[in-house]
Amino acid sequence: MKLYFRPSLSRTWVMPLWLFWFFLLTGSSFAQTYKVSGVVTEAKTKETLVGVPIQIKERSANGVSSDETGKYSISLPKGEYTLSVDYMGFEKKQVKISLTKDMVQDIELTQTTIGLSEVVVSAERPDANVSAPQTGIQRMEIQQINKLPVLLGERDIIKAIQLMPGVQGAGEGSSGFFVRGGSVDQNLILLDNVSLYNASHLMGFFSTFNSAVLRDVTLYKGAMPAQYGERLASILDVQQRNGDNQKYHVEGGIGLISSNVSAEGPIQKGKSSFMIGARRTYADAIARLSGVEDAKNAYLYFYDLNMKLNFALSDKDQLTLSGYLGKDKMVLKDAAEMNWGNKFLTLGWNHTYNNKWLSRTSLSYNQYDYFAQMEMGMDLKGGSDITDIGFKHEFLFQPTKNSQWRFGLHSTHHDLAPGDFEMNSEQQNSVNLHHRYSLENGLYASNQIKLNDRLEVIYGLRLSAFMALGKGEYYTLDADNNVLDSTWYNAGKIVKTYWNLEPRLSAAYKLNKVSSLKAAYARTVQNMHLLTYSAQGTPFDRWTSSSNNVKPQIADQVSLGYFRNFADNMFEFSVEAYYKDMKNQIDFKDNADFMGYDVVESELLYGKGRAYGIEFFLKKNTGRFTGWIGYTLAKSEKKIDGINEGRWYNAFQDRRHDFSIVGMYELNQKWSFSAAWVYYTGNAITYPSGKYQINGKDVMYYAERNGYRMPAYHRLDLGATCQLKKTAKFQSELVFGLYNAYGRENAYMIEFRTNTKNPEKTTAYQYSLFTFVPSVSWNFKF
Amino acid sequence: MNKSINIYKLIFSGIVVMLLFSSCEKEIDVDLRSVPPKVVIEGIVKLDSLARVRVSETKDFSDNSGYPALKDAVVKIWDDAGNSETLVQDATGWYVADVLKGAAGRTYNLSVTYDGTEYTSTSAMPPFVPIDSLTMYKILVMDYALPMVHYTDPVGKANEYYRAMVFINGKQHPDVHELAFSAEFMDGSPMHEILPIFTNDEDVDPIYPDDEIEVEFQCIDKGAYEFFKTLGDIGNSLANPTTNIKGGALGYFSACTSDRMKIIAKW
Repeated sequence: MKLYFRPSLSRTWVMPLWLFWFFLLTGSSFAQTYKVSGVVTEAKTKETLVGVPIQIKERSANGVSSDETGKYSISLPKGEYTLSVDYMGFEKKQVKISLTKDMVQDIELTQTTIGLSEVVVSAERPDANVSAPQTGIQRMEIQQINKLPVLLGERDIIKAIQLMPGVQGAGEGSSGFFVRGGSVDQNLILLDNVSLYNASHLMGFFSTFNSAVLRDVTLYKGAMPAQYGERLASILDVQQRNGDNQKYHVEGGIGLISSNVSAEGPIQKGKSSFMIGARRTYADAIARLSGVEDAKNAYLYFYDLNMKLNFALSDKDQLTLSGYLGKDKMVLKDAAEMNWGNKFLTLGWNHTYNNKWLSRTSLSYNQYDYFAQMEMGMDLKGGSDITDIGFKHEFLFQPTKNSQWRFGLHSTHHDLAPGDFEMNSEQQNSVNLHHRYSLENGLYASNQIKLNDRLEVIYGLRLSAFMALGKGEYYTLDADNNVLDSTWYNAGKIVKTYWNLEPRLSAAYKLNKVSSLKAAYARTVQNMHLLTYSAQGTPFDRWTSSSNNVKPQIADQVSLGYFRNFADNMFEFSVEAYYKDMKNQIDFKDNADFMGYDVVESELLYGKGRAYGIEFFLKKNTGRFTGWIGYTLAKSEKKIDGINEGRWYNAFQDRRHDFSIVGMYELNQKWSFSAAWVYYTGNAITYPSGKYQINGKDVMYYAERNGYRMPAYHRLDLGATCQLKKTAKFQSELVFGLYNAYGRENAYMIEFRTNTKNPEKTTAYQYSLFTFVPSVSWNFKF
Repeated sequence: MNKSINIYKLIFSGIVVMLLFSSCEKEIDVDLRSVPPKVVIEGIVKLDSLARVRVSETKDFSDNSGYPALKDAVVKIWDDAGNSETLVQDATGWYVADVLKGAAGRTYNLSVTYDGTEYTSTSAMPPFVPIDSLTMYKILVMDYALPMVHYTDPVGKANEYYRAMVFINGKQHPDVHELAFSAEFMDGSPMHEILPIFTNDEDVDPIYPDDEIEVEFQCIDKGAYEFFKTLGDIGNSLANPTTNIKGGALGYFSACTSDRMKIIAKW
């Protein structure tokens, strides 16, 4: 379900005409009118379509668009009418109605085929690039993602998102990403509106998103609308698919290292549906079968379970229950075991009051945890978890066709358990670190309004209130961050509340039919902070919340862009520049230790940050050949007392140049090909400035943080899809992939140490992970 | 708790092998900027041994000419029992005491003056704790067994921190990280510490059957523990280890006890 009201702007509305219509509508409410309403769906998949413009042929001034749930509704005087839909990607449709009483008229649209390419079910207006007022947004449909080349046969939305300008992968194979100079933890990753604390599997080589069960992905790179908050840099909003409420389907894929299967269908035909999905890797089992000695006593896998149930309680009420369970497991027999994962369950209720008011309510339970156990002489076991209970309530109010309001409240209770460890030798010892409790609240209002046929804006305000709560011990620190004193707070007692007002504004000004200028300003606030040494993040990193010592991170971002479409929206071009100013940025003291201690605040240093850059994007949307070119020129810096003598220094995620070129070509009905090439400047990194000797061994001497840069990274991936069989009942395809096609040895890590062959020398070693990774997988659907 | 980090690293390297990722290693040239040298001090007062101090300085990474000891440093050590001595440099470059020997329970002070700058430190020698036994422990996924040291942490705060050095056929392996342990959370317990001996060399295991493994086991104070712990983790932190020397030098000063035990590697 997309959160945007997208009136058709392909038609030129003029303000007076619009006012006239408004008066006509209000005036006509005195006369006898009837309502026609219904749902717009895609004929085959029954997927609801959002933002589809519906015109009344007999009254050219009248028209509506389907809302987030695919519903539309319009009131008209008694009479004969033709509902007309002309929406890109679908066959034109006209439905004649005779309006003598309130009636329901559902509209089914059939996808058209342009050339040989499969048409994407898109909720976007075709010229959205130019006309939509939201700036800094990237949307991707799953069908588009499915065409991209893959690593190890796994389609992955996060890897696809990383190919967009302004978004950078955190490293080889990583599911972490940096948005406009922000760190990995500054991205809020939502799956069905629930925040995931760790969106990666297998140390990042896979993301938690099984693309078979997803509907679409939206990434806000900065000027996010007011209904989003809680993170500084971006929002990745991923939605699971609704099941087909008419027919049963099963689809799946079998790959070299993983397989997935999903099923969907009606629970009660036409009224309710289910969708379930499962995915599991078995690389370790394959390695064992093929006789790899090291794999014999080790297990390593992950699995995902996804679920979404959808019930239409009435034509005004819709209930959804969605859930996710993911787990990674690593076992070294007789030595160690660890596992980690996310799980959540969320219940949502959408209620339509009338054609102007809609409400959405959800309640969610969400947990991330990890557990580690080691049995080597002594037993050490334990782990950490984060448990959230969240409530969201939101009203959508669409007083007129050109204005949509949104009011809402979010409230999440966080319970951070940073560590409970048990150590057994002959006697038992345990360490139980204090939980940190907090309540994160957001209250917001926003309005998307088309002021005239040139100017459309989204403006809003979010009030965030973060409360650090008892029970727990909170510390008073001295100037050097040493603990002076501590205070115990009882359960529910408020330790500190941070109030922040976050204004948001995004506007599009149409220069003409094919080009526009967009500008945006946004303030964002973040109260949950990830403490990690690794840029990609590891499952064992510690999250901490704002407290009496840790202040909320605050960012102000301005951006300005020029957008132009060519050749009847076949090509989209955009250039966007941004500047981001960040306060209360966190970095660590040298040798900071976050594991096993209550007081992490004493290990932290605070300062400010700034990031700026310019993003170019050229995309070909239609035809046999589609694809895009993205280029980002950017900088991201920090200035923190206690690091590099308080000078500005490059943030780890600072990258000067970032290119991505993606091409997809449909050769014929059977074969399609894809290729993606990426190039980026290496990250800022700490290298030694010299060396010395301790205990007869070489030790590196570090004089500055992030003073150097990794070698540049580049890689070409190729993919091919062969459609094996396509009937109405069954279809299957073979997907071939070649990751890193020209075998570039990209630096994953550079280590400075004693030379392995000659201990009298020190040498820099470069490690690289993937060179030439071929893959094949077989996907089916029936 | 740092052990869990070590184990995570161990397992991570494990999976990299398992997944058959074509992880490849190659030597590269990196142009590193030269910085002014910094003084490095290693000060050791071992139980019943003469105090010894080495003063050297940092070198450029590309300079493979060794780490010569600095001459003309004035090195003094005194304890809380009224003993004091100025150490004299011997032929190996170490400044060595003539009479001052380590005694358990005493606190030692170090002063090193070099090129007009004075560097000072203090370290207290904890009571002696012996090794109970030494065994070899084989983790199934590994090709060779690792030594495991067994000892009993005495009740009380006087002994909390330990350090182990492993000599394989009389030599320390250059790839083996410093190993420091804390009994902070396990006061008064019998301890069984596995000593992770890993190397960067894929072709040669660090331990083969019938190798002679000797472990030197030290009780150290908190300052020395912080240094060796953070030195052991330098590959992760990319930061200079936390030193207990004041005045701006790198290195450590440790008054420690020492026990040694040998085992012939078998598994």
